Amino acid sequence: MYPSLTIPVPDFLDSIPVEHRKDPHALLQILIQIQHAYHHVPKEAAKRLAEEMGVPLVRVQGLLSFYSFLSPEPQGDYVIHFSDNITDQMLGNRGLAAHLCQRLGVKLGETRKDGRVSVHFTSCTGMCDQGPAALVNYLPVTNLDQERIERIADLVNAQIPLQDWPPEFFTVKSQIRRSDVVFRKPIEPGEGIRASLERGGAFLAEWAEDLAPSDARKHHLERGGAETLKEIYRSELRGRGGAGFKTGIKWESVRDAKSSDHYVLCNADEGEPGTFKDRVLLTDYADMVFEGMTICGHAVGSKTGILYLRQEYWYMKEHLEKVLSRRREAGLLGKGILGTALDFDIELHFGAGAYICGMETAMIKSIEGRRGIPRRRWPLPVHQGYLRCPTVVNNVETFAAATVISAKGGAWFAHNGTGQSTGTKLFCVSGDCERPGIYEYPWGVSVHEVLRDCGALDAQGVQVGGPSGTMINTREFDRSACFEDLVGTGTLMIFGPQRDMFEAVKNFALFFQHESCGLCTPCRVGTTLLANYVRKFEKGCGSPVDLKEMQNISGLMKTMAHCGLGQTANHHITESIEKFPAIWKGRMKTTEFIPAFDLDGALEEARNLTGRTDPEAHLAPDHAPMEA
Amino acid sequence: MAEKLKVATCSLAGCFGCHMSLLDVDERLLELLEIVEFDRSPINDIKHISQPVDLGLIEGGVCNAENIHVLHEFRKMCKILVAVGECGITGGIPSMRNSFTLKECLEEAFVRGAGTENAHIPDDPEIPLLLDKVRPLHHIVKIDYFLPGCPPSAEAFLYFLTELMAGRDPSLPQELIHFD
Repeated sequence: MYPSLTIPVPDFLDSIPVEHRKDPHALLQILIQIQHAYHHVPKEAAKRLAEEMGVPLVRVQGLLSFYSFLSPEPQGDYVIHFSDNITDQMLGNRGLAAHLCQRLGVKLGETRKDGRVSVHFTSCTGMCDQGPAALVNYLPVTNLDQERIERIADLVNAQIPLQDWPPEFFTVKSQIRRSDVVFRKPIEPGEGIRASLERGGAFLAEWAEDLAPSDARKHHLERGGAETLKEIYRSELRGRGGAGFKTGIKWESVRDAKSSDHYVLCNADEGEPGTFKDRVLLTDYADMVFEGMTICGHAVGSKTGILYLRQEYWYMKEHLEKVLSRRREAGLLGKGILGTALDFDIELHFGAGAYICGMETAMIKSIEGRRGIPRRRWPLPVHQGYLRCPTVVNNVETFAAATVISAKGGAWFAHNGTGQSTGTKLFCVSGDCERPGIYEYPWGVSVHEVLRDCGALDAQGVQVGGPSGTMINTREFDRSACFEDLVGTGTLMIFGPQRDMFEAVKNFALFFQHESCGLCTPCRVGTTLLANYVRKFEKGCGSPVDLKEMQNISGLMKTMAHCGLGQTANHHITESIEKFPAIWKGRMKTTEFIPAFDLDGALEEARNLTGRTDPEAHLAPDHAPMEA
Repeated sequence: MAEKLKVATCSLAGCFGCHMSLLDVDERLLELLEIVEFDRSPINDIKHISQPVDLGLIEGGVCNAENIHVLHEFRKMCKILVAVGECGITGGIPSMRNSFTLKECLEEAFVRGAGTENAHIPDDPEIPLLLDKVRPLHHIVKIDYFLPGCPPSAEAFLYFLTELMAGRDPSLPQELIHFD
């Protein structure tokens, strides 16, 4: 048994600072700690937390049922989650998972009787360029193959603690294959915030006469912030999370919003399958990200930043905390940054397995310790966000870009890219190509150029921007990645000529079915119906009638769903019907509607119960209905 | 005057509540009969559809082999087929048995039930076999329209039929599908 799993629950809870235990906002973060310590959340712990926080027990249970990495039921000493993105599937993860289960004598999704091990599938873990990947006790294991699976089975059976496993199993490579102007020569720590603070200019003599010293310092700080905001405007930077909102407008709205507190949130939820740039940025360029948040704090007048990471990136916690404390020691974070009046610090928050938490209002709720269910975007987070205070929510890459802009100037940044998409962009390339990894290009690069550089000129299709993005075929490879054309998070999952695109569609449909938060009917029911139709086609029972119905449902979701998840969770259906019609037509055995199940088979149970064999006890196959 | 709309109706795994609601058009039934003519229907007790008709209205879901035969007859003979009411559209109340196995349901009713004599699961060939799950109509055949409600109001039936007669695509206004 793992030593950590045997600490008595009351002792463990006592070890958590009491001010946290009494703060409902800390609920999710505490549950994550408990999950890591016990590989589930014991009832006893849930009950005591609810009592201490003064919240109903259902509030705690609500989190357990919402976040997929929190479990109310005991899991194994070793909890293994296989990443199940389409890129993992193309590299054979399903076979590897089945083999591991067989070696360990455990059923998928269950815990072995002796409580040693549980094996699950999970949505993409962000290791698409080095899959198939899995999480073992919440730590990523990459490049799985038959040999590694055999070793893992041996290690688990021999009860070897994780710290004694071969360290190369846990190697996560950054694989930056191409750098452009931004990342070829990264900004040194402090360069960006110093430039931002210096924009306050020299202290003027009249300030000293008119203002008290502390007010003069504040005035200087505000002037610098305003100038930095101008630089952001000049750069025409747009958010890198996918939606492409103008960062300057967002920051200015928060700066102008009257409130005692303002917040800067950095979204590193990165749940869109196929996307892993934030992982690389936070691994290799964490300083640039933290510095961008600090610059934002300076520009909007905020003292607190929060970096929200998906649970899959838990392994980076130590590294990021080190970077933060190094920055504090260097005077780049904390009180009086670089000797000025600027106070700003950053905390880390983690998610617990929910794609929807990448949606900003859902993320805010998650940071507040609630179920990550998006709310209506009015009031906007810039007016009422985290704790109902004005809040900037930006993507990891956006903050890194802000650092560059502060250091080198908005005009320098805007020099690259296209008219409406300035600067450079990190692209996450995975799937069937010779060199998967991160590629930095100026905006406007064509898909064809990326395919050439990564060695995938024989591709038959590319999923741009993840499952919620756009599916393109060879006729569209000259399209360019920019806000004017193919927008998205800069994700390219490549499908070689040998692939059946239907497998991708199925993977995406099941992904959305699993990740819908369930709040609104168009999304909750729509994603399930679409997944059912995909399964129907898989069985060879699909017909043009079904195809039309899928398009109807997609249209409904697009117009009626509550948030971006539901509105885009049908793209893979409509676009594959349009661009890869053969994958659907090839599966149609009939032009007329037939059921998705075997009618006669549906009588089998009744035949067994009654022992009847007469003709009326069967439905002949010629009962396939005829259309009028 | 234009030719009458030929209509067939039936109740599968339903409660006849939708048919009762159709009869709630009361005296307007006489006006209705000016524009429609009923073929197979429990209203006139015709047992099979005699010739192809324009419209089939089906209440109730599909729970047994006979339901499937009837549904297929309707699909074959009706130009437009409509799932009427909650059970036809979703399976409704009868589909509550779907969370149990058929064996559990039948044993509860015929083996373990209070005061049961000669306890056994009925196996007479006269009785249609039950499907393992109760299904909504559109799982079995193509359905052209769904008329929601439990039951749909008499007004909803009238509106639907008159719109269809006028050659329009029937789309019920909010007040006819607003139930709470």
